[in-house]
Amino acid sequence: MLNKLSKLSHQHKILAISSGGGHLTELIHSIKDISISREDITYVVFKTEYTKETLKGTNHYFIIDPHISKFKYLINAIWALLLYIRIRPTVLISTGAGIAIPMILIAKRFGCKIIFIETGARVTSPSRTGSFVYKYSDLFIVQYEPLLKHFPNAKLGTLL
Amino acid sequence: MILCLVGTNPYDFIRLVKTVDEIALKLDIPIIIQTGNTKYKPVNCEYFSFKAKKELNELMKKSELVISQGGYGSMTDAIMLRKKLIGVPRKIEFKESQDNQIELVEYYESKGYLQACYEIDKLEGIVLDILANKFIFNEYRRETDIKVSSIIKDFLND
Repeated sequence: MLNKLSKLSHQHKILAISSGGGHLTELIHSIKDISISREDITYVVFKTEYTKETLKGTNHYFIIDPHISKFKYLINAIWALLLYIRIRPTVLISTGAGIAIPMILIAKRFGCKIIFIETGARVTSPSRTGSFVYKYSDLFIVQYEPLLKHFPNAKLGTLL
Repeated sequence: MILCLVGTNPYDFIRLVKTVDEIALKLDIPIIIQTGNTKYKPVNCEYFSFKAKKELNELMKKSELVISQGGYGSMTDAIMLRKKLIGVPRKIEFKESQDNQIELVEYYESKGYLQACYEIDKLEGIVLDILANKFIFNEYRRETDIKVSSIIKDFLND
């Protein structure tokens, strides 16, 4: 067992990406029990007072919140590529929202494993990000049973 | 104490903050509002914009009622702490959010975890009814025993 764990921590480098607020809280909860050295987890999130405070003492990078600006979205995509090259993760974990899409596509292209967790805010109807990312995900997790209808290959986990 | 939360959503939620500020005038119980990115500043009660999650949880533990935006984070925290809870969904048509918060509020309402407030002028009545113990709140029940982190662990071990 111990052997397996240490092997795990050597093997994986996790890039954890989400927007701020509830998405980040869920993201942190989803990986807090995983036996991997904290140095091997890097967070990429929006810069807000909340995220700055919450991520103190962790590896993290901030990205801008594009809202509905296409230009800012493009900047984010370029920034995502640079960050990806810098971090070189083996696993990407995301709880959304849309901000994670460029990074997910880049990571997939480079052969990184993709784990997507549909946010707990979604109960019966899938999020746009979730629907888009589903086909790229190696592991897709939902938190409510009704969502399994939309994502038949998803795994159901208890609320984060 | 009553705690009102609007979460970290980048949009204004004046409807809720202003209404709770007005209700504060009529109640004997102190109200604290987390105003987040809402620009309206309450005049009748204490307020702050953001706090670290731990501090916020401490504050929630001391509250006898939580009035929350329909966001996942604040509502589930209150439910897990078994607080009496009112969920007030932000509405896209009022430019209060990019996402629809009604779905989650309705779902939790159907489970009996909270009282929903869809029209802001009903909020005062709901607050008074809750303070008069007119509602019964159900305890949270897990939909499955499998933790998300265990699913991820299994996946990474493969």
